[in-house]
Amino acid sequence: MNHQPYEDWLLSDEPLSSQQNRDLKKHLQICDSCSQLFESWVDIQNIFRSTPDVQPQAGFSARWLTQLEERKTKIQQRQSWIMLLITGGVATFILLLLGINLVLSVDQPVQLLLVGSNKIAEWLLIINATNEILSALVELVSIMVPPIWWVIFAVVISLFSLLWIYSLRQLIQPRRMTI
Amino acid sequence: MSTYFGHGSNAVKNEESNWLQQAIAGDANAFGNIVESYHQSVFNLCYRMLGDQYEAEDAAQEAFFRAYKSLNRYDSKRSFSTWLLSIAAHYCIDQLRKRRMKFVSLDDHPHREISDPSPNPEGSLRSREDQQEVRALLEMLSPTDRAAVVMRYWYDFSYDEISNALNISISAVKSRLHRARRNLAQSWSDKSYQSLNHERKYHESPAL
Repeated sequence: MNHQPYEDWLLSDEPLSSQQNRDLKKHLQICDSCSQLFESWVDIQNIFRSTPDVQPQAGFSARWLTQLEERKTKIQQRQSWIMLLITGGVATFILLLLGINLVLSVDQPVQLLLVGSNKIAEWLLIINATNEILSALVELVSIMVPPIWWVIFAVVISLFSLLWIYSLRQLIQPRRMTI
Repeated sequence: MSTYFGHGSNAVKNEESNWLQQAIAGDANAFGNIVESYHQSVFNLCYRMLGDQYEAEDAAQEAFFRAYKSLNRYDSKRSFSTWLLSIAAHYCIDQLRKRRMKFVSLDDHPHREISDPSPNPEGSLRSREDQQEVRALLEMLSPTDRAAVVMRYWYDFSYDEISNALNISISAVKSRLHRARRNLAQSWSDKSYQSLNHERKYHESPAL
């Protein structure tokens, strides 16, 4: 006997035609296996219907918010560590390069001291020269530029400062975190 | 069997829409309201899928985190509940697949009992038995078939909604549901036959 169409019909949750219904009923009367399958499926549907919902423990959303804060803190901590590691790594790398360069450039400790003091003297000279050039430039500009332009310049700088403060505030305001 | 989303009046939908807008703008507390509204349905789906109260709690929490994280990708034309339950179902399917890969037998990892606040011990026992029966039935199904059955019989999802939620075609949904129904009915039938046989043997066995 071919059970396939009857099995499909009895397990279907779509409506059957009246002819299909009649054929299925007729088949169920003579076929034990399909009849048992049908009864089992009815039992299962009854169990599904009668099963009550399971209640989660009280305070689910409060726990969710707490965990969200914890995740946020963890992410911030991880980001801080990553930044610290990157900065530390770069600083160590630069120091290593400087150290290697210095060690390679000198043979004796006295020479090392001499090279060091020479470098410091060089830097001091550069700072001094930069200072002189900047003072001369400021003097020249103050003579050349009329006072009204100074006022305009000050206003523009103030506007930029306000814009900067506003953008900072926008950045600092709480935003949705990326988990 | 119950439906969780039959109360969708316009006022409720508007409120939900406002919370979603606020949550997308970065208000975690607004999403907290969404969690409050949907936690029972998400938790129950996870419970039906995983069969363990504690795992269901973790899975439901994770589903809400994932939803919160991907709020920008939520298409407001779709139903929010379907979208949310689809996230929870996918997470549970992944968990079940991982669990299967670990090859842990059920005897090694016994299920924890369901805590029932009901003061009536008889009712509590009955409810626990029902839950265990349902759990045993659902455990026979593959993770995706289980998700399809749960969505169909506890959440009244249409074939189209299940297809969207599980990212499978409508014909695949139909064939999966049909296969699941046959497996469930067959196992139930075998189980009834076995218990009947067991009872008969018990009554026929001579007293020692």
